[in-house]
Amino acid sequence: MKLKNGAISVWLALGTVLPAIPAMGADDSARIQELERRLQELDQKYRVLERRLEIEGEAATEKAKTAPSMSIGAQGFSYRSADTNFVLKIRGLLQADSRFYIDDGGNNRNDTFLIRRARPIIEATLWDNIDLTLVPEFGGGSNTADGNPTSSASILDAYANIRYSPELQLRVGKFKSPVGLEQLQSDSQAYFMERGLPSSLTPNRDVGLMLHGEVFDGVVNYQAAVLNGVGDNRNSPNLDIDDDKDVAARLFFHPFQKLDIEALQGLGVGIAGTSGNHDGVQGINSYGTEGAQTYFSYNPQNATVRADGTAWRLTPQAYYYWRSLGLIGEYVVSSQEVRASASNTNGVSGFGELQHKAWQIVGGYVLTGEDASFRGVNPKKPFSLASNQWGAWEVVARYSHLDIDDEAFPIFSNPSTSATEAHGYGFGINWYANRNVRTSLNYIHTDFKGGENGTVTREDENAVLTRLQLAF
Amino acid sequence: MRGIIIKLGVLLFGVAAIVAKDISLLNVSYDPTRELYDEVNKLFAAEYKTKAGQGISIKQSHGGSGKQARSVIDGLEADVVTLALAYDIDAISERKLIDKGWQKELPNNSCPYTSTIVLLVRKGNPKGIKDWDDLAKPGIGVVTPNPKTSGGARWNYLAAYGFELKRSGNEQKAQELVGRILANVPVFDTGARGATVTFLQRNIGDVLIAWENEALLAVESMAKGQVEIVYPSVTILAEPPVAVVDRNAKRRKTEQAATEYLKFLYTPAGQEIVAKHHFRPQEKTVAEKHKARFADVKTFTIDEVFGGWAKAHKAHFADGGTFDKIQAKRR
Repeated sequence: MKLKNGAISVWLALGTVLPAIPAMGADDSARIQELERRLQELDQKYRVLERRLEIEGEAATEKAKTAPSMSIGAQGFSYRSADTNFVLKIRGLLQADSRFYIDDGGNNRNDTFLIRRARPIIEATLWDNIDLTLVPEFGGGSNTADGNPTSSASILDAYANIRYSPELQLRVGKFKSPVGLEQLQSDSQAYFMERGLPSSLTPNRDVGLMLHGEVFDGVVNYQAAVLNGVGDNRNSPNLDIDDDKDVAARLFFHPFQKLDIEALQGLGVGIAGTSGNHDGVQGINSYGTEGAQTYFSYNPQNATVRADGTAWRLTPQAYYYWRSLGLIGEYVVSSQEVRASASNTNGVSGFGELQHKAWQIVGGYVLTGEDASFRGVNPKKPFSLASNQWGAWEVVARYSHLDIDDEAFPIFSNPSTSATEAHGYGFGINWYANRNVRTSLNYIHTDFKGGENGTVTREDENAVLTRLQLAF
Repeated sequence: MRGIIIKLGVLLFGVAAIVAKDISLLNVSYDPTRELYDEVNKLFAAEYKTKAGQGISIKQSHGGSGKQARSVIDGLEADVVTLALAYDIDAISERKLIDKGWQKELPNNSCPYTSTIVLLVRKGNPKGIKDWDDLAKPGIGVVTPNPKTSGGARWNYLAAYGFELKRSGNEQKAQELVGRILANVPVFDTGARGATVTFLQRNIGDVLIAWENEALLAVESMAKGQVEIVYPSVTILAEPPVAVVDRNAKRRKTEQAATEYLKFLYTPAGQEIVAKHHFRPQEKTVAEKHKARFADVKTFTIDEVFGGWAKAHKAHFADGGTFDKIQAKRR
């Protein structure tokens, strides 16, 4: 088009030039030379104009390369610089739940609808290798001592991750402590709506710094952190509860990832633990069921209990994924030195080291054939009535057990109100309409040993939980 | 228990530390060095693999020298820069990306090759162009890139300016000469290769002010039989320098490889490639061997006539400098 326009311009110009040339006659040669000269002049002008347009086009293309780009899709909103060194992503998570208890006479929890999680997720990348993550929580998190939801807003994650290489990264700020396997799984991708009993014994979010990375293309994953230290299943209040720091480390292997045996590639085994000293009431915690009922508290009569000394946890863990099948298993020991101080003459003082233990096996099977993974299910055929597509369907099951150290009773806990053991099992079904929408129905049964005559936990718990989750 | 965890951590970092990978380098260069570094990179990679036992890949980026320097300052992660003029590398050094004194780290003020500025005209030299002042005549179409973005264009500008200073010693006359030459430029490209395209492929203008290596490339391959070189009575000795971008190289752990890469340019093998691509080699034996390929032209240096790049830049190419004043008069 440009050339065509240029050619037209030349001919139009010629039309103005030709009449000016004297009529053919005596000196045809001179006239032809003059014509050629003018034609060349016009040709040069045309070429110059065309080249200028070309250069302007190149400049515009070059400029476009440096212009930032914006995108919005299933993975949220993102805005990135042309060289992708700077990125801003905004994502979100909303979980609207219901909890109903069957035959819950004397149950201390109400049947309820609740906003379990409501999180804007803000992520940024600076200079290509520094990532920032900021996740406030506006829903009912689990920030209270007994792990039950609260409605107050809090900062859940706030950290910078400096990626030197995939093998060596440094994370600084508030983030998940690298310990419990199910605890480390994303809230939006876990098999069940609530985590199992072993997660009661592992730390949740803590503040500090962590070296971590993937070695040999993910065959080995490691994390080693120095953290403020938090009580079991607690989120850090953003500052330390005492002077001491916890060391947390985790080593996780995919031993057969590089082998050409598909059935073994998805096996992961590891071990994690923490070590430190805790001091104060925030160094210990109550334990609750998946239905959010408290069944164990450090609640002796006429005394107060606090953490007072060495605290450590150890958790061997494994998962296995093969095609649509996924299984997670973990065992947790949590040890804490505690002290009871009598509040009056009827109380009993004492010091002890308590070791609580828990384990679980939880898994699922994707009925519609999608691959199961630690990072959730991605439906092959997103739900669409018009296309007769029904998303992905997954059935899940869990068995878990938690054993309170018998030494906890009666000096550190009231045996008439706190259980010494909890067994839980549950079934559920998840429907992934698409990458962003998931609905869940869970049935959870938990029964207890001890504490039957108290006011905290008296009966088996049978809870039916439902969830509509939007995650992008 | 704590001891076990600490030992575990130490073991983990030991494992992470032994992971080694092939190296990659980014060479950010100016416009007409594409073919030179294509060949240098292949030969150096083979040699490095043999000597260091490690694979290496070198990526290239080309454009106007000033523009390339700006890109590195703005975050382009160059391991080495091989630019058209020292001023552009100084600009990067001022931002602390390159250590001070970079020009003393390699021989010949870190210039592994030189070149000069010549005139490329149409076959038969129909406009009879012989020297710089011919470019100032009315009706002569001169092709040269924009000195604001192209290092080559600055050399071109200073070559013409220096010619007049050498002849008359008069700054005013030099400004007038360059002003008239620039008035004959119909279109400013951003880099030297773009100007070559304008002259050779778009068939614009009567004369291209060009790097000697670019002009020889045109005569021997790009436009064989269509153009010829005119060596002016006096021209400038162009000294394109090279440097490791220390901060990037340290961060990427490529310092050693980047330094070896630049040193390779000074080896006989590197100098042979330099000569093959029409740059003037610095190494005496190789220079002597290829002497016949390069005309014996009278040159002056930037230090000698302009007092170095810093002064030349400030006087001529900084905002409000002579170039801007000349351009303002044209409008």
